[in-house]
Amino acid sequence: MRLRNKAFFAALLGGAAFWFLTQPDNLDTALVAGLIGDPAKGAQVFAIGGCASCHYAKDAKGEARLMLGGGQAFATPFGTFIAPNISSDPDLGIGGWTNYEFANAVLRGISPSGQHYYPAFPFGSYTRMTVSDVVDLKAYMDTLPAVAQVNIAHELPLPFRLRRGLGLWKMLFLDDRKVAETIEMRGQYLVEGPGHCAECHSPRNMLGGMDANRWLAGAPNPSGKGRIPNITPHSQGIADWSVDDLVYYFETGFTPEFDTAGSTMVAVIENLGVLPVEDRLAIARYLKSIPALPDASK
Amino acid sequence: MLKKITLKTVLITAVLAASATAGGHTEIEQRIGAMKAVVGEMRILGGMAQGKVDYDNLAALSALETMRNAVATAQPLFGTPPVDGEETRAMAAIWEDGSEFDAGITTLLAALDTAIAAEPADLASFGPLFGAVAGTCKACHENYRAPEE
Ligand code: HEC
Ligand code: HEC
Ligand code: HEC
Repeated sequence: MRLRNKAFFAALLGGAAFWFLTQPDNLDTALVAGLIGDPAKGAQVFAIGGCASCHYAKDAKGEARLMLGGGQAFATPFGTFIAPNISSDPDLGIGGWTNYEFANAVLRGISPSGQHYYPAFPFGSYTRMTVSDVVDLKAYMDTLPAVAQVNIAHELPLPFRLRRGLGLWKMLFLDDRKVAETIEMRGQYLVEGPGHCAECHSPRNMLGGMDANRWLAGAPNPSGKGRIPNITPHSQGIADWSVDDLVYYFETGFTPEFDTAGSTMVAVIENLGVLPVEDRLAIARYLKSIPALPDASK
Repeated sequence: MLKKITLKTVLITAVLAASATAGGHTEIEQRIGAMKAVVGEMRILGGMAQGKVDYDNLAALSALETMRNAVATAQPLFGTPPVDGEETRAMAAIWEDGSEFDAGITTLLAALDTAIAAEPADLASFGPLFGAVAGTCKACHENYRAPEE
């Protein structure tokens, strides 16, 4: 009897701890209050954020890339995620969201109804964006077409279907320490925050968190084929690339050997091409200045 | 009877293989070789376009002409889809919706012809002509060349 009581209390305590630890850690409403978005600036945040690359329909070309009805499937070790509709449709998309709800989703990974999002939505990087960039982004996305599309649900095995547990993941891996946005730090801000380069270029640990000790040192390709290269200034990375080579690559997709970029980097380069040249230069300078690490893609 | 057919198949296969490897190379090896020649000329032209090397109009013209020959060599070498086990990054889409692929090669040849005919005298006139040539590589590789293993 007593033993059973103990077990009961332990379970209750464990449950309470889990409940407490996995509570959504919402963004402070005061940070968003009074901000008015600038759609022109937002267009550039949208480009470096690569939002369209994941949220347009599979194989969309040209103008159709601004139709953010979702539907693309992303296979991960944890199951298959389906990108949702984030078009301006007020009912099926996010057109009806307030700036605060949007910022809480992008910066904290929390839905308007208070649920955690899965890190397949790379808020683990976006969390380092400034609130004003996010509000500009919303203003721009409000100008894009409404798409009336309903998508199928994610295909996940049972334990991963419970969103509450993602609170623990966030406790372990969500690090929103802001990168000060001075001119020198601009490259770091773009790479770590909206550009989310590490989401592809850093290896992940068993729980799917980005490995900060092997930051940008390369990773196996989640799509199965090929590897994602090391982009630190190591001899196994981009030591041989000059800053000009990097800028040229971001502009044209040509490597110093004049081969063309392939795979998922093609969409990234298209997005980088929309930015002002100073931003591409800032990214290149930042990459040449980070610690050189041996290749982690194997 | 069975033996006869097998023998015939073996003979035909051998003849086919011999014709495909004329010059010691398969169709695939030959076109990859041609593409390597293309990229070799690209390095010369690209270096000038980037300003890493001084612009030299005669060297540029000769590189453009060599590249044109290499592309024209590659063009008919995309005739048959690869069989299992052949090493190639050419994607099946080439043989499924061939017209767009052919158009890609035609666009590249036309861009080269335009550049050669213009005989660009300086970097300023060379830049846009080079851009038209360079733009075709990525567009086609994106749709028809598989990622490296
Ligand atoms: C790597 C692919 C990827 C990128 C890049 C991406 N997203 Fe998403 N996004 C997703 C996935 C997958 C989900 C679903 C997450 C979930 O259900 O927990 C999602 C969910 C969302 C949601 C929640 C929608 C809803 O109905 O609740 C919003 C809002 C959103 N993304 C906006 C953005 C914005 C803005 C950007 C660019 C700054 C962006 N996304 C970039 C994959 C991506
Ligand atoms: C969606 C995944 C993804 C994202 C996000 C991404 N990359 Fe890449 N990147 C790749 C892949 C895949 C390659 C290899 C391309 C190839 O095979 O030609 C690559 C290649 C590169 C290369 C060339 C390295 C080499 O040795 O060839 C550089 C430089 C680079 N990326 C920089 C960046 C920067 C900077 C960012 C952020 C702004 C970024 N990448 C974001 C997937 C990504
Ligand atoms: C119309 C399509 C098309 C165009 C245009 C094109 N390529 Fe290719 N290229 C291919 C295909 C397909 C392959 C893969 C061939 C194979 O592996 O069988 C390839 C292969 C290559 C290779 C790899 C050779 C190797 O070592 O495996 C290089 C380098 C290359 N192309 C350079 C270029 C350059 C530079 C340009 C532009 C001047 C260009 N290509 C234009 C289709 C094209």
